[in-house]
Amino acid sequence: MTTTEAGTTKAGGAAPTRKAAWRRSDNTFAILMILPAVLVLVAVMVYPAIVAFESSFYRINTVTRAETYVGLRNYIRVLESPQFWDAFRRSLIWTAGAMTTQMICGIGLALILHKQIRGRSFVRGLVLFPYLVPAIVAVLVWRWIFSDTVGIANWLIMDVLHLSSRPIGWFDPNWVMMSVVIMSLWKYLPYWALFVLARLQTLPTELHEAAEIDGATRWQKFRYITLPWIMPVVIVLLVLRTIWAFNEFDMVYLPAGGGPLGTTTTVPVYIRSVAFELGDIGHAAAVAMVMLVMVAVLTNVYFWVYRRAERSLN
Amino acid sequence: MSAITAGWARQAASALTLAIGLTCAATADAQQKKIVPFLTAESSPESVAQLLALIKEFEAANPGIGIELQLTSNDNRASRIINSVAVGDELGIFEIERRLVPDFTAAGYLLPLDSIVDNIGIENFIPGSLLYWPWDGHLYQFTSDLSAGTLYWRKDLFEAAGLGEPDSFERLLEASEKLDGQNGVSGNAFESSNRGNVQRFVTFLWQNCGDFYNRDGTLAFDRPGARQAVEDYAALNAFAPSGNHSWGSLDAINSFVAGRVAMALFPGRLGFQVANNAPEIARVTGNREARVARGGQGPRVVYGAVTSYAIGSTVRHPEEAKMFLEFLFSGDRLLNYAMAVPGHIAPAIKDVQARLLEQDTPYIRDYRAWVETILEATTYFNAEAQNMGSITEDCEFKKSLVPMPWASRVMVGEPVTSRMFQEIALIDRPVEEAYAAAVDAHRVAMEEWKAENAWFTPPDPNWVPPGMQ
Repeated sequence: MTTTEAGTTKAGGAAPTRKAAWRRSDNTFAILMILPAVLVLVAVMVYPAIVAFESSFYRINTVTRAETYVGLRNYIRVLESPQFWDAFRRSLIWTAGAMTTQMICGIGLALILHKQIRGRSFVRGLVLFPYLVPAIVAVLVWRWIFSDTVGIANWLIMDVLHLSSRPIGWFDPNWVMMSVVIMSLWKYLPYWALFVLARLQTLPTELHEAAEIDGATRWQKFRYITLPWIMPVVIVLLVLRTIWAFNEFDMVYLPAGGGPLGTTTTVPVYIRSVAFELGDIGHAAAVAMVMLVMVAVLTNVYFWVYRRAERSLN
Repeated sequence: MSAITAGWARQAASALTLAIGLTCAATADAQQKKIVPFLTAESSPESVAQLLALIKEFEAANPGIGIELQLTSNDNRASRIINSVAVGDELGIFEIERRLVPDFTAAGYLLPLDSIVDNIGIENFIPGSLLYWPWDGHLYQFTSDLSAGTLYWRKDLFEAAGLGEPDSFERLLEASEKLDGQNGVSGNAFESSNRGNVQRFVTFLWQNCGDFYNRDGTLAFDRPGARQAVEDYAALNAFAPSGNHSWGSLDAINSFVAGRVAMALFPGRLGFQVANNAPEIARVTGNREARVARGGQGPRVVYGAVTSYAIGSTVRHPEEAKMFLEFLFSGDRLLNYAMAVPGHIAPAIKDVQARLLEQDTPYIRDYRAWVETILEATTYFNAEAQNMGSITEDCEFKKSLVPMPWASRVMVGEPVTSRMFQEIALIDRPVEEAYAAAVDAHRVAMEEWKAENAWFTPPDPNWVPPGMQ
């Protein structure tokens, strides 16, 4: 566009005025084109964020919406609340557990699907299935699998494999987070596998062939060729999924309702509890704002790591 | 303008005209009809089909009225209702949750519904089923149906172990101890989960002469009877399946259906499900009034619940909304609704209850005694959030219609008693210590709520609600 415009300006004396007019016209056109998207973003993202920020300075009854200005008191309550810090600690554990398992298993599954196996297309389609299942359905199925009285997991462990004489308490305080991580792994594994697989399919076969000629082992080929090749995708997935996992509500809340004894109460679950059980929207908004800051910090750390990784790969 | 463009413009203009015409026609039709929104969480295809048929029947009989069925989920219902009142949206007929009633009524969000009861006749209702608002004597929630818990037990297992009918705490405990661990069966299904604990525990609490609060809004959970109930329930809970602290609403039923528990204290849905899904277990199952205090003593009272509907004060056509509510939950319509899960849905109107027992269906034929026991229990049921302080200090059951205004602080999410029993079972917290913490939690929640809600003053202690004179 610029080149064309520059060429056109050489044609006549009134060119600068016309050029300015065109530029104005282009700018106007561009603004008009992006305006709907901007308006939607303002309506569904910026405005609610401003309302939430404003609400965090009030005590607001969830039912009656009666408001009392409390200044920074909600923030002080949040930062002094042991329940909030417990929830934050659980959020970190949940996010780390979910991300680690999803990343390792996702890469593993992608490597398998990349092989020339029989019925590969069918298996690839099948792999996507858990991601298509709504969270509530996935949780209901897994609750049944992990049931202490009628669940198939305990039946396998006790009656088939004879590994234990008593049922495993999958929802006991010591096990429940692991159970939730397993449920999440089942649901989000396809997401990882498909993205990594897409990247793997762009890997030039000559690289592996050359390495084989040089006598590289399977592990060496993976470590020095495959892994660096998929790393940019893995890092992007890590950034996105970490933010989503930190904000995840349904897959954490639905299996155990935040319990037992609060052991699955992560920050989003805590926000719901404050808003709808304690009935204070303002306090809940303050927790959400603190969480927003934490996620922003986390995201920046990730992008810093991403840039470093990218530089080292280049 | 090219021919193609002109053709396109003509087609667009025609489509626009048609759309405007249709919209105008629909608007005109809507303007002629008085539309009443009806929000429900009934989501099964059978229930929705039944509701649509009833709406059609009502609209045919009342051509000027239209009922707009709005479906929601149980999880979203409360937030949807709260959001509607917050933004001043029209709120028509909706099932109201117990915890919302005090705030909604106090804030003036609900329409008085006394006239519906006047039309049906208050003498036709089960005493205590209508929840009049004690602060002004009006009715803001119309009761469609009731449910009450009864005790189901495996007669075959009891007989094989030489155990007598479980009619007292001692017999419940003896059976739980003896049967637990036999062939993969747990002693009982008395759960400590956030969802089900309160409903199971309150029968123990009340029959032991305890309560959460008195009807004047003072603490009652510190009574010796409450302490006894906690100790007894914790002793029984030790013989429930190990994961009972995280059970959902269907786990107790599934466990009984699968033959994995020897006893369960549950509303009528359990019996209906067992009869339908495991007839071989239903044939060896007994059902009786729950007597759970020591020696089978204590007042005759069990856990029950009231399902009730309200109409928002912002409704555009209040009289039409009341007409539909009355139509839907009286006469044959109420009977058909109750027959969806007989015994679990117990009609609040006496003659409909009587007619329910006369229905010729396999379940009523084979398990009529169960349904009779449950229907009888609806005459002495109590609900923790709706009937605050029904158990007097003299250990009498005098049904209170004072709702517990701070119920959402102690009964919702992670109820105080659920946490108490979970701490006892999962981290071996001593009963005395866990109980003391629960007493404090109940006290603090009450005091905090009162500090934030100046409108609350104890209702007149001599007030006798209509229908209970």
